Amino acid sequence: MTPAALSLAQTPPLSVPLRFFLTAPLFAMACGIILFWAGPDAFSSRWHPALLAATHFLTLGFLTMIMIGALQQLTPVLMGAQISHPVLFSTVIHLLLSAGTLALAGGWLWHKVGLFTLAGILLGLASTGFILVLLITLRKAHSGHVTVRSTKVALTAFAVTSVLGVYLALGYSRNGLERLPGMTDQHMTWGLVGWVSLLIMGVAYQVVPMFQITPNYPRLMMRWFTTAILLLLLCWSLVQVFLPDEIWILQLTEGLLAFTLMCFLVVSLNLLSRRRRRVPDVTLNFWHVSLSCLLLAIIVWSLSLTDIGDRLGLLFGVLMIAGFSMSAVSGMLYKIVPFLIWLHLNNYIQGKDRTRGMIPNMKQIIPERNVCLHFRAHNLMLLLSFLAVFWPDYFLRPAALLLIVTSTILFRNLYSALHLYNHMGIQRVASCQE
Amino acid sequence: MVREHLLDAVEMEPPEPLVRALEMVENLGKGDYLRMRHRLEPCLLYDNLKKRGFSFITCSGGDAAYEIFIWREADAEARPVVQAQADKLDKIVSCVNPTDP
Repeated sequence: MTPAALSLAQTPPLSVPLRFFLTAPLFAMACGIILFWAGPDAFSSRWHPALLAATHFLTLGFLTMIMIGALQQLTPVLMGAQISHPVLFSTVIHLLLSAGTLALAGGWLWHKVGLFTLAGILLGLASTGFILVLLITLRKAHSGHVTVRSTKVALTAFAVTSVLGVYLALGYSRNGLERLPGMTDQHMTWGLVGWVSLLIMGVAYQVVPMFQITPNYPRLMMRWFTTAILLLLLCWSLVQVFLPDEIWILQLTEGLLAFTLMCFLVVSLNLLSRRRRRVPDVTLNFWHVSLSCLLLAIIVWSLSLTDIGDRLGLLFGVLMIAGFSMSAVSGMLYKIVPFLIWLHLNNYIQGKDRTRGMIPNMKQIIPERNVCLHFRAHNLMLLLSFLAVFWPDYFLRPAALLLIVTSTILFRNLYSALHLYNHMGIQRVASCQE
Repeated sequence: MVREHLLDAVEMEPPEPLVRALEMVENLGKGDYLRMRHRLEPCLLYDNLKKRGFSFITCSGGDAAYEIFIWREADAEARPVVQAQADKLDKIVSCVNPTDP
């Protein structure tokens, strides 16, 4: 990273990432409400409309929402590339993404074909606008850090996921597009193994050594792993479309994908075990849960290669979305949000030409006990969700209820940080500086 | 008399190194300098130091990944001592030294 890359002047207004971070738990709550309302039937098949709506509330409304917000913060601050008109850009993308996700879920829940068309248009605009602006911005990046490369790779996977997703959404509409075989699996794999995992890996290269005080990830891994996963995904897709009978090639690429994810997992666990500061930290526990779920997901994926059962596909989704991704993203949020609040308070003090000021420390911005409460609720929610895959009659509604509780705690914790910032009377001055 | 103040931030989590460094530089007297050891380059610190009227030299090649020497920009007594310390290390990564010609 060049010194110029990490500059106070390049920090976007706090409202840019925070609007995404605060909206995300609301979508996770909505996911819980849908599953609670639909009951055990929702887990009867992966094609159940309520399950599809709930899944997209998590993947688009929670995960993509947070990742898009985080990228708008990381691009200027870590990569030294300024997005033009950041507030206007984030407002437009936020509205398109939120409205598109609601329309998509509404399409499944109320069987309205018009809503699918609307969702296809809104989400298509959101993803196209976001990906194009980010890629153009990243071309100007001063920093040669690997995060720039891994972000470009993750955005490419997001583009493929979006094209497939929009095509599938428009397929539901009247006179819809013809659905090609295996397209849903391609959309899911590009989304979960591509977009979500690649971005988590890319951001982990930066935030794990920085916040968990560990050695850096190996250079070879940082430089080539995300690209390797992208190429393997591309190979897997092409084989599925053009050589569908060559099962061994498909299984080979799937095996190699599982191997690369396993390498990331092993290296991450190794680094976390070698952290320099041996003090209890809940965000570290979030990482451990996330990586354990990734391990289970890889095992389940390997088992499902031999078609052991329909339930395994569902379990893989729960492990990847709620287990690996939500845990990692929640842990990162509890480091990133307090740091951003602190950074903006520090900027304010500098802007006022004051050399000293009472800035709360990171632990005061979101108290550790509140994060612990979220972690415990999150773990219970995960356990009940895994059980619900096999015994939905007994465990689905409790799991849904726990998801609502977990998301409420996350929202309250993030909102309390914003409240603290506003309480210090900064918001008005900061918006004037925009 | 030149005095070195040491801040070992190798095991500190952001933003603690920055907070501690800014607290310590405020107390630097004439001829004093702060030697900060860090595992990452403290880029956020630079803007803060410039605004507060401090000079700095960041070097790599010591025991820690980065060593940052900070002194008051008008302090001619501290500057040559810092320069000599920095010369012992491998490479100067970045510096703001307004007294340079």
